[in-house]
Amino acid sequence: MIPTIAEAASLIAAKKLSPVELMRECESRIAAQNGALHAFILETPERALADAKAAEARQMAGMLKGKLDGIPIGHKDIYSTAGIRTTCHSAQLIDNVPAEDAVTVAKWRDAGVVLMGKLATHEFAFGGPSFDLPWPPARNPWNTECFTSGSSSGTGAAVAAGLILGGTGSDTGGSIRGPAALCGIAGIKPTYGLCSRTGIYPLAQTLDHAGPMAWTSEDCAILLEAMAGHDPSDPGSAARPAPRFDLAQDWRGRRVGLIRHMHEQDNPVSPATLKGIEETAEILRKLGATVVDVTLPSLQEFNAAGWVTLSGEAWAVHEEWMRSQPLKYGEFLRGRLALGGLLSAGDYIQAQRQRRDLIARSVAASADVDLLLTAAAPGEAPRIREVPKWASLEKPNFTIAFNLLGWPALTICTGFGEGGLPVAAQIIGKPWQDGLVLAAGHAVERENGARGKRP
Amino acid sequence: MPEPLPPDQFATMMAQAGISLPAAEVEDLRHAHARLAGMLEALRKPAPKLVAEPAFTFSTEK
Repeated sequence: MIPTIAEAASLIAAKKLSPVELMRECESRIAAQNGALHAFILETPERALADAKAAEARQMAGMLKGKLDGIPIGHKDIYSTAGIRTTCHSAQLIDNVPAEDAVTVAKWRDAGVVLMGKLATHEFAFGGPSFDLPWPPARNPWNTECFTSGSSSGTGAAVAAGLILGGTGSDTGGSIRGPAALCGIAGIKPTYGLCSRTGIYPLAQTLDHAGPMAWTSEDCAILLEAMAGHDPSDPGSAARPAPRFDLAQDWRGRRVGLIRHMHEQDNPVSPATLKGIEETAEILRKLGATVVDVTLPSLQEFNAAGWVTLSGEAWAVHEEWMRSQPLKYGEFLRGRLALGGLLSAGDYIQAQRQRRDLIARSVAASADVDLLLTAAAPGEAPRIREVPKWASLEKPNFTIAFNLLGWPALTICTGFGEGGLPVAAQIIGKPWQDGLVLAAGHAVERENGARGKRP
Repeated sequence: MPEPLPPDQFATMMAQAGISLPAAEVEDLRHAHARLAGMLEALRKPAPKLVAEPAFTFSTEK
């Protein structure tokens, strides 16, 4: 079985695992599985070998940089990579080769990661699953007829299948937490402002978050520590030092708010998903936390403000191409972007007023708790060919609420449903409590048994 | 959910936005727009107490 990042880091530090051998293992898994999964849209074998050899040299010299030194990763293809094609999975940017790494890419590079390649995404992180793009959509490794969710679809598939040990995602309305849920891995949307977005193609600037995805919460913590930190070139980046996470928390005295109405009334979830949420609450309760019900604004209210904000801001990013060369986008994306072009300035301002009101009400409603708990997705992955173009308008999702709030939110796998596919829960924290959120995920994963099974 | 706009009115709206898409996609979009209009109706209410202009809606320190 492919190791976690934490396991691999220990083995590499003890000189019991060669970074080159680990890279070769991932390379052979990519060769065997990527033809069915389409998780990678560009492999970088020469770069991977060079990175792995450099890490091995540091290992032999006793000069490892840290836990990410020699760890095979991939980047979502909206992250700029110097000298390596970065397309946003779109014909619009099919020949784009950035001159510089995104700030977060550079941080991981400096930490010693082994870059295996660029990962599939929904087109510009908004248009998928699409079959009319230069590359096919990523497939779910638990069942390749099924959807990965998106937009960080390639990262979700590649991590779950053990093609890489971790990767980057971005999350504007759930694009880290959705694929983490359907692919059965962990993924955190950090607090707004914790990670730089410089060099990551924008979707909606007030909602965009960069974050990591990995098999476990512990691995996400390792990746996020190396990804976070102030970036003066991103106006949304907070001037705070990069965090160090302590996952060994004492849960006695902690309070967890169960947002029952979100997953029982606003968008009722599957029985397996509900069971996983209840078990997550029970594990935290047994560890000493107090679990109480909390009522936040409805998912419908969050979704109205969220989708109008997202659509309006996305239109502003893509307006020029939507007018001059709309047919170079896939059908799903050009339709979704066009909807944003039909909004008025008044619509957008009303959404911002609603957003402010939602933040105020959510802060008040969660004043007495340390963490919140609800679903990350309604159930198991649907079949990829049956995902509707306008799914986000049909039912509210569980994720965009926390993009509007900017609060850290983590998806963890809680088990498996009737179809044998993963189900998940979402753990949310107050701003800058990313470490507490990850600690909760880590504590639950150690107890719930869902990390013992790979696709 | 509100009724979709009449096709000619929707075509005018598309033209004003400078958007030109294949006919089948325009028709699909016309129906999707009605769903979005339902969301917009939920947003068009008297400004809440904590009125905020867009530039000040989000703070990284909150």
